[in-house]
Parts: sequence; structure tokens; C-alpha cells
Amino acid sequence: MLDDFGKRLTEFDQWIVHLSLNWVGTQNSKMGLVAGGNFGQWARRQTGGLARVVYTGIVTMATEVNQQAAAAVPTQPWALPVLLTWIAPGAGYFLLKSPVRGALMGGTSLLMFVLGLLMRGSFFEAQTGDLLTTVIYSGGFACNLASGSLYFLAKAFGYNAPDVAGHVVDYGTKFLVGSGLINVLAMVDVFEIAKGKKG
Amino acid sequence: MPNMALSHFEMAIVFSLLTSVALGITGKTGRQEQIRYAGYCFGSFVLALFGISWLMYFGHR
Repeated sequence: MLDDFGKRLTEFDQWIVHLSLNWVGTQNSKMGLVAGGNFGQWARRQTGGLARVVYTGIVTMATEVNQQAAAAVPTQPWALPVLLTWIAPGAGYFLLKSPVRGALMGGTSLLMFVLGLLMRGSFFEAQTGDLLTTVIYSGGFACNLASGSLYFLAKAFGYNAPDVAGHVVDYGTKFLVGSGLINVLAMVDVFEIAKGKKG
Repeated sequence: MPNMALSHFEMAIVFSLLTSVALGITGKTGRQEQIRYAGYCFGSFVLALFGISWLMYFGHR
């Protein structure tokens, strides 16, 4: 394909040179420059050089794209790493041989969850009603669930802080939701790594 | 269980820091790129924090 493209580009190159020289010749005749052969040669060199630069640039870009495609990571099964990341934040990365990334993502999610508990943040309960109530409470509940085992362990150990007014408790609730959202990011990241879309 | 009570500012900074780390790791590939992007996210968070705070302060006057 690249060779074919090269041939077409060479024809295009010749066409540009031909047109340019015709134009230069016409100008020379109009201006009566009989000794304008030097100008014509200069124009031929300049036009041909420009086309060569464009051609070389395009071929280099095409080669780089091909090399990147060849260097792509092969696809791996994604279901188990994603499930593991949901259950234990960051665990899926270890399965995909990215321990540093896993430790950082797991640590971030865990730290945010623990800080949320220390601030006495409350968990959302799924509720339906008007649109805003449904979005906030059901969305919040889904985000809490996204923390996986952290959420279930906290529930199993009887954590049930009431939703009282106050900025510390409010921040705590947001930290608990944020922890789940970070885990969602981790799950998407693990999926992309497993599918070979990301290195 | 100990109770943790930080100020608005401290909690917002901690939240920004942790979120920036997660965004840096998932948003880019390559160590240098990730660190730079996490720094950019954190800077943006802090800038928005100050900007919106001043906006609310003048909005309430």
C-alpha cells in the first residue's frame, strides 16, 4: 500500500514540477528573459525539493504508525482482573504484572475510604422518588458498591454512621463515594490494559 | 474509632491530592507523563478551589 502511495506521490511530484516549470517558462517568455535558464533550473530544484520534503515526511509518519501498531500489547482475558479490582482495589493490576500501578491505585482508594470512615461519612441507600432523589441516592449507592470488599467489610463490622449535618460528615460521605469512583477508574484502566489498548 | 476533624481547606486538599494521583495513573502512560499529569490535575484542583471560594465569598457579601 505504501509503495502504491509512493508511486502516486511520485507522479504528483512530477506533475507539480511540470506545472511549475511551464509557469516559469511562460513568465520568462513574457518578460523576455532569454537567459532565464538559470531561474528555470532554480525553480525546478526548489519545487522538486519541496515535494521531496513532503513525501519524506508522509513516509516517515506512515512508518511510525506501522511500528506503533506492531508494538501494541497483545490482548489478555479481562474479566478476572476487572472482577479482582472491584473486590480488592488495585488487585487486578498485580495479575497484569503492573504492581506499582496496582499499589498506588489500591492505596489511594483504600486511604480515601478509611478517611471517609474516620470523618464518619454515611453510606447511601438506594432510593427512588423524583429524578434528583433517584440520581443522588441510587448513584451514591452504586458508587459505594464500587468500593467492593471495603464497603461489604464496613457493613459487616456494623459501620452505620447517621447522615447528620456538618461539613466533616459531609466530606466523609464524599470521600466514601470518591473511593468507589477511583475504583471504577481502576477497573476501566485494568480493562484497557488487558485488551492491549494501553501499555 | 477515632474521629477526624479537619478544616474545609485541609479536606479539599487531601481529596484533590488523592484524586490527582488516581487521574495521573489512569490518564497517562509512562512515569514522567503520569507525574506531570497528576501535578497538572492537582494544580487545577487547587486553582479551582481558590477561584470558587473567592467567588462564593463575593457572592455572599
